[in-house]
Amino acid sequence: MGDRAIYCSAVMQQSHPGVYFFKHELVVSNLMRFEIERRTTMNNQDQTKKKITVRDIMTIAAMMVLTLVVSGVTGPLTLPFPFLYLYVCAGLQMFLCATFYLVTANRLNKHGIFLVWGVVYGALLALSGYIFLLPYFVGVAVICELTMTGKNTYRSPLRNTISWSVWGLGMMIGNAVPIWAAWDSYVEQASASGFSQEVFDMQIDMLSSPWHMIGACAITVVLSVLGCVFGNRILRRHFQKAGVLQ
Amino acid sequence: MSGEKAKEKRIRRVNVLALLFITVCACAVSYLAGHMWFQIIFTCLLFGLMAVLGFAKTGLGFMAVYLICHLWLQINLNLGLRFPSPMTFSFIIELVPILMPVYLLVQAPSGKLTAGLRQLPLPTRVTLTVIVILRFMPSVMAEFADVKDAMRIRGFLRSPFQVLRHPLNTMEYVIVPMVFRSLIIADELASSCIVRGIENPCKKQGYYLNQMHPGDGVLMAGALIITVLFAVL
Amino acid sequence: MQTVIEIKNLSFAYEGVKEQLKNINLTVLKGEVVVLTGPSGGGKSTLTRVINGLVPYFYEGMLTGDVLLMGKKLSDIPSWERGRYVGNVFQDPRSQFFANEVAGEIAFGCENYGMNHKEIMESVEHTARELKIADILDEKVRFLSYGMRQRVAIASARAMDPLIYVMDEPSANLDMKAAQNLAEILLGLKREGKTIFIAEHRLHYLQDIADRIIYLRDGEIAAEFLPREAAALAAGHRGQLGLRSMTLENLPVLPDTADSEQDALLEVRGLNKAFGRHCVADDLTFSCRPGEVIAVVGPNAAGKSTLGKMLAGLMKEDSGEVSFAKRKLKASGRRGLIWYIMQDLDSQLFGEDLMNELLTGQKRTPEREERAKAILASLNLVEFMEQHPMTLSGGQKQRLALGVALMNESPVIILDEPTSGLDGKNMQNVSRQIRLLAKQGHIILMITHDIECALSTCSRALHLQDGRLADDFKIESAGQLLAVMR
Repeated sequence: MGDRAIYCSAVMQQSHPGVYFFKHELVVSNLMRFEIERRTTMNNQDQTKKKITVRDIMTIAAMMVLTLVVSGVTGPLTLPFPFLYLYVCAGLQMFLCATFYLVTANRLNKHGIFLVWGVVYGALLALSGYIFLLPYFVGVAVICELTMTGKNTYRSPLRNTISWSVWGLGMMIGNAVPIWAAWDSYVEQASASGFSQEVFDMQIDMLSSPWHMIGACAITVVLSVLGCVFGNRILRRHFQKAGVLQ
Repeated sequence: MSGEKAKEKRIRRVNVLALLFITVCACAVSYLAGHMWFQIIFTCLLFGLMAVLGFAKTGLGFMAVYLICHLWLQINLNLGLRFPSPMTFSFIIELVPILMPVYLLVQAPSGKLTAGLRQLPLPTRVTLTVIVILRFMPSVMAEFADVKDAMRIRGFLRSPFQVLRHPLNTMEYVIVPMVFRSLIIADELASSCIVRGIENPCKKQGYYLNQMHPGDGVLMAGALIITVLFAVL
Repeated sequence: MQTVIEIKNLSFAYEGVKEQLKNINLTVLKGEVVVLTGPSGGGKSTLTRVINGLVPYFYEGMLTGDVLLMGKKLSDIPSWERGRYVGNVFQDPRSQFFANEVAGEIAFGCENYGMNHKEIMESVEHTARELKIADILDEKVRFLSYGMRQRVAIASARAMDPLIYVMDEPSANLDMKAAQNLAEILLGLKREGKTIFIAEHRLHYLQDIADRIIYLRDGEIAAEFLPREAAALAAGHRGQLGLRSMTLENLPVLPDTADSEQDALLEVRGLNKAFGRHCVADDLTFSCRPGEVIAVVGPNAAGKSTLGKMLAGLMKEDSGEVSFAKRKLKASGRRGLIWYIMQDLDSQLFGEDLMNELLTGQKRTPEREERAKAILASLNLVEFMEQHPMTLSGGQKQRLALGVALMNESPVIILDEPTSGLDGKNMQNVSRQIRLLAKQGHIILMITHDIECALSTCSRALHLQDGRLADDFKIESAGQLLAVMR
């Protein structure tokens, strides 16, 4: 019979729903499978053009809550150790939350994910005292969206890794800015109570050398990439296998 | 009893935009205040506001954390101690005055928050995302408690040593059921909203009105004056 | 009589999956209460989603055929307008609420349809008075019982005063009393001339309300009953169809097969626990022999789940003691020995396939693999061995959870609502499995609202009320359990 006959039968069944075909169960299931595959392929191709729906917003919100909770816990945990907080915290958050981003990206497969993520994240961090962080994070989000131009990019592990690493860099620099500002007020308070000069010099040195910044960026990128590797593995083993994601 | 009920009603009457404005003022004071004492006074005023609106106990909790951090920071600085890092305390000290009005915002009915956000020039999608994030917070906490219990039963959390020895496995055990449950809840919530017309593009009014009362005006004006004073002095 | 819902030659398949509905033809008249029932996976939920338009709008797939609401094609009505004609109540009282307060939730639909503030207030207050929830308008939804939450869900649908109500297993998480309350509300709606379309497994509370019962199997309408015909079905025929019983009073009781000669293995003495002023366990004392299957019954918030968690070592008791084989055990010592299977199975599945689910967490040895395979075989799950646990049906997941407990060789297993939402056939499968485990000497405690399952599985019942053990009795008749559960 061949594929052509099966395809024609599929079209016929759609336009003439009342007509009953005497078909062997295997052929009928092939017929359905073909049509579903055809439509699924069509869906995949133009999905990235569609706008974000209510369901998408719920998915983003759910995954963002998980991200915010994880970030909200890791941040304060690394805070007592300035070195960790400055250099490792952002990377650690990227590692732990990569899965949540990958689930969102894979499920929605639409442009605009980073913009929503950026606006919400920026607004929340802006609340922590630094209003300019909102436009900053929107800017980072725009750059991430630019790294995701093209069709079906949100289902590509490589492209997701790249954009997540860019977001990670943005987060790291964004996290460092408040600490610079807080550092000044801390220095003021500390010098008022007579902290030793050598300790100061050492700490200032640690935080203002360009090599340290580059080191921090490298750590963040490495942890973001590892997070995506781990996340993609979880996606394959669980969510794609269970049919929840494609 | 009637005093308590009256207090309960007060949080329902306050304009959410006034609370949002106070949050912004709190950010400004934390960031711009010239002297530490200004910030302490502002935080005490915020505690007063919380007490008036019926949240004295929670306000006391916030104040306790705030004062303990201040004390501890002073001790650390005087004794030259570096751990816990003074920066930790600085951050908490800056965060508490912001969390107080945010807590009040979250206590308001979500419908009122929606009404308030609708009055701002924000796209509907952003408003919806913020409201849904707030809605998901308690759900995620409840789900996490269940997953943690399940992990304890299975013996995945026998000891901190075990967790540290298999960090990736532990992460997987937490992430996988949490994501599955979150996606299911997201889908069910979305379908429940869609069948009740959330996608209707018409102009919407609410059950709750976010009206500006004289009290709100006084509150906002007061917050603005204090903020400017503290920033300038 | 006006035709309100008309479905013509409808077939549907979710994306990438086999056909869920096959050539459905159905007509529902105004004021009718139609109950849709049948085995799990038969297409009941899908059919309700077709009527409210979620299929294919939200749940994508291939739909052929026509759906007409009051003569109009559903596909011609914009997605957000459908809520005006069709009010919905879903199964899960945790995930269908948008607002944090009752008033906001009831108002949600009205707000979306462009009503002005005054109209919304009037509608909310009127609906709340009718459904007798006017006094909880300012309460937070998440602090309400499941029964009250479903009442709020109905109020939210009712606020728009739709002609049709579509409900997908609304009583799945409710105890018997709440299910009766739900029945009263539905009766009220029916008296107003509303059309109600309910997909349900639990048929007993709909006995006096349903006009027709449609039996859906493998996506096709296989039979149609009147309520009295469904009630008159012989037990054997009902079992074949996979249905739950329509009447509860005359259900048969399980003969007691536990060995009464053996000593008690699990002993609980004077267990106490309170959260602030709320007492959840008040001097609980009882003992269990090997091979016993005990139903733990009582109203919601009586402390049943708390008892389960305390026995399993997830929560520390304030005072009292739990002994196993004459050895007193602290909470940490009980973990693993007493296994607690929570109600929500999705939070308890960690593996990527069934073998992985049973073996994860410990070293993978050939002996353990053989044991895992044997356990899966005894639970009739071998054919799904390579599948992800989340692809299993409710009944299969429940059996898998039992398998995990068996892998752990726990002598005491506590199940929290293991059969809620399961159809007759799956409920019997779970029941059979539990009886087999009891024969092997396990002690099984089953927290349940499901009287059918309790009668076919348990020989004894512990009745909890406000944290106290109100009664501890041998189950001798359905009436005895009903009196306690209602």
